Amino acid sequence: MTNKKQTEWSPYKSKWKTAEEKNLDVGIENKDNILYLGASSGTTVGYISKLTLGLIFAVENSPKMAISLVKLAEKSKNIAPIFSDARDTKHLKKSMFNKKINILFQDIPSTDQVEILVNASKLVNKECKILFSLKTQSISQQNPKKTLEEVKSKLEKYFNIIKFKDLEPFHKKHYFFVLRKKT
Amino acid sequence: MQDQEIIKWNITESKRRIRQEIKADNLIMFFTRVAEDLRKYKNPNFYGRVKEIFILLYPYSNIFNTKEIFIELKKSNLISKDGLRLDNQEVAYLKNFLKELDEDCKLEKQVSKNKIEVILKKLIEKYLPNSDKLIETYILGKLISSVGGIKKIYKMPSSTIQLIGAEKALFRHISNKKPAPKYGLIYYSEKIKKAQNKGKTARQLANKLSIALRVDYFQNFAQ
Repeated sequence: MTNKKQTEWSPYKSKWKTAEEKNLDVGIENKDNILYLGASSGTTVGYISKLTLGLIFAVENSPKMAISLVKLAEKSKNIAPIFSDARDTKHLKKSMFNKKINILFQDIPSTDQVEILVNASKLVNKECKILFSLKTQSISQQNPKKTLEEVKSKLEKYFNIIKFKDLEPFHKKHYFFVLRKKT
Repeated sequence: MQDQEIIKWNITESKRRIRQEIKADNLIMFFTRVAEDLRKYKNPNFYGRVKEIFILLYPYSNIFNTKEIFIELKKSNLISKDGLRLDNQEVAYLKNFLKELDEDCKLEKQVSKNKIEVILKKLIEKYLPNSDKLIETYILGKLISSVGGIKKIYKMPSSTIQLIGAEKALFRHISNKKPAPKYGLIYYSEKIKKAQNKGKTARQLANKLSIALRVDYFQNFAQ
């Protein structure tokens, strides 16, 4: 853990910036509260925290990354770090103290990404904008377009898909969805 | 609740939960790596190891220079609010280790190698008593430190434990139709050196070792 210099917000490292470069609507209003699943060391979270006055809840599962997140939260003014598994919705609900969430962002590479998203979407209401970054290689090693079709059919039961795109040339075999809840 | 109060509550709650994750197997891994350094290299310096133990004890500090960390650690009394919890005995072991480091952070080789292996033996007898009866201390320490902790090794099947350290031969067998490996790091234990049929003994030893590691984890490391 060395002293980090201020690096550029590069689309090769951060999925949020890639989505912005590809003209998917990831704009932040002035007073938005954000729930960010999969925060890791907090590079993207640090850039986002300067664009809004609301709170950012950053969730991370591994202890080494969470130590860097807590250090970042002590310096900045609107980041609340949560060290827990993203599947544990009870603890997440307890730590958020009934704040209204405007944007939900998920970037977790695991086999059950879609199930985590469906569970976490029960914490937000119908007006919330949901941004989902899909890594097809962690679900299966088959043709990525076939995995994309399977994921789309699962998502259409619970969400309205507004836009989706692939993230070439910055990230390979990744897709990005903009969703809204149905009910 | 106000915004600032929410942030403070989350910071203290996260620190409390992180502290439960840092456990005593980090201390075993630290002393194994020091013993490995003393065996392998001619005249090693231990700045890197000192930095590791400092980050375990005080993870939220802002000191980054290794020489300053060395001076800080010699002065402190090794009690931490946010990091690894140590007994009185373990504090004594660490202080003995730190006393012997001279100004260039080096150890006198002959004397200290035996002392560190004695400390390692006592730690393993305390935290992993069942696995200690099956295999030597140095090899057990290397098995755990190569995987990255006891929380990862207790879930593994016994065939994986048998082949830790032979990954190159294993993937060559999977992709290139070469013959399969029979043992990894386990090969260097006494039971396999004396045995007549080494492959069979390696399989039997790995089977019993995986059971012993699971018993040790649930007795000493789980809540």
